[in-house]
Amino acid sequence: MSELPEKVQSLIGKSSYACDADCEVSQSNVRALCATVQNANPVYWDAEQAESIVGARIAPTAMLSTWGRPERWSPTESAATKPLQLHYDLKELFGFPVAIVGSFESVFHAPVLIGDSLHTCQVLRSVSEEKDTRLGRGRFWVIEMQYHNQRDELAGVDTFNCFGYRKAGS
Amino acid sequence: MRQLNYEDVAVGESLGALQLDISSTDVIAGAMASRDYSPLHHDYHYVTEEAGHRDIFLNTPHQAALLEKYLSDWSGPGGRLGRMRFTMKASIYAGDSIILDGEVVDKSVDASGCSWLKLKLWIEVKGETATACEVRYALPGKAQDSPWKRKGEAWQP
Repeated sequence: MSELPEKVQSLIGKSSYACDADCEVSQSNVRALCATVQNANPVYWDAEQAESIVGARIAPTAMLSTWGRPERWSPTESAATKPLQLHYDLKELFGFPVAIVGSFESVFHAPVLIGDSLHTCQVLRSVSEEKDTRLGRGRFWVIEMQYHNQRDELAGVDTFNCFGYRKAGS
Repeated sequence: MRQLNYEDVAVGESLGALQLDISSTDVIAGAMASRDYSPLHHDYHYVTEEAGHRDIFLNTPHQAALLEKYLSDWSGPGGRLGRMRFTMKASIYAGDSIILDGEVVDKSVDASGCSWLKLKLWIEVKGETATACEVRYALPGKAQDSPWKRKGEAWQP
């Protein structure tokens, strides 16, 4: 059995990379994505319909992760944080050359309104022992990304099932 | 747009197939709109010469947006997503022709009276499933109940 390094053990269950999004939920991003996928839902195109059906102008539910992504550059940050930075930290801590997200689940709570600004944090939920798979030998880990709005309502949670490994034969 | 209600839907029902062609412009526009600047979704030279792919490919929020559009076209705007679970089996590249498809797996009303469907959705490329997705989706129920008006204890996704 391969024990977890103390540094990894100390991360389990703790909130990391708490971050206020540096963008507001934007009608232009909503329109651009709806136009790309040809989503004609009037909630995203007609303010009166949005008010009638939902009670507010909102972003498409599945756009949740859009509002937690950092800008490519900032005048105040020396290095941009990657989305799901904890995943890359674990890859580095274990020394795995490859780490992938195999599956993920999104659970959607309060609707995200146009003009909202979300706060995100990442929580490591679990790390497995080393296991052999067809891809290679490595560890599975589960990371949660939580999204809250400026009213402290939970907007949603993304749960990522990840695998870091060395390729078989390497 | 039509509006389906919970009573209109039967377990086993197909949502119907939708075919779409994915262009390079689609891949890039979806990545930019979802604020995803990874070169995997816009830089042909990087993906083919360094990352081992044959072209740029759809990012995950773009695929989620395609499935949300597919659901909304089927149900009408009163439907509300509660949960999506994705398994990505293969990349969807610029130039691919895709088919979105799905079926109703189960339906139930929770303790608060919210009317839920369990749906299985998938995106096919050349007859193979590239992405599989399980969805918990609420539809308007009896007495003009709207999933969008639910919050707190009355919304259990």
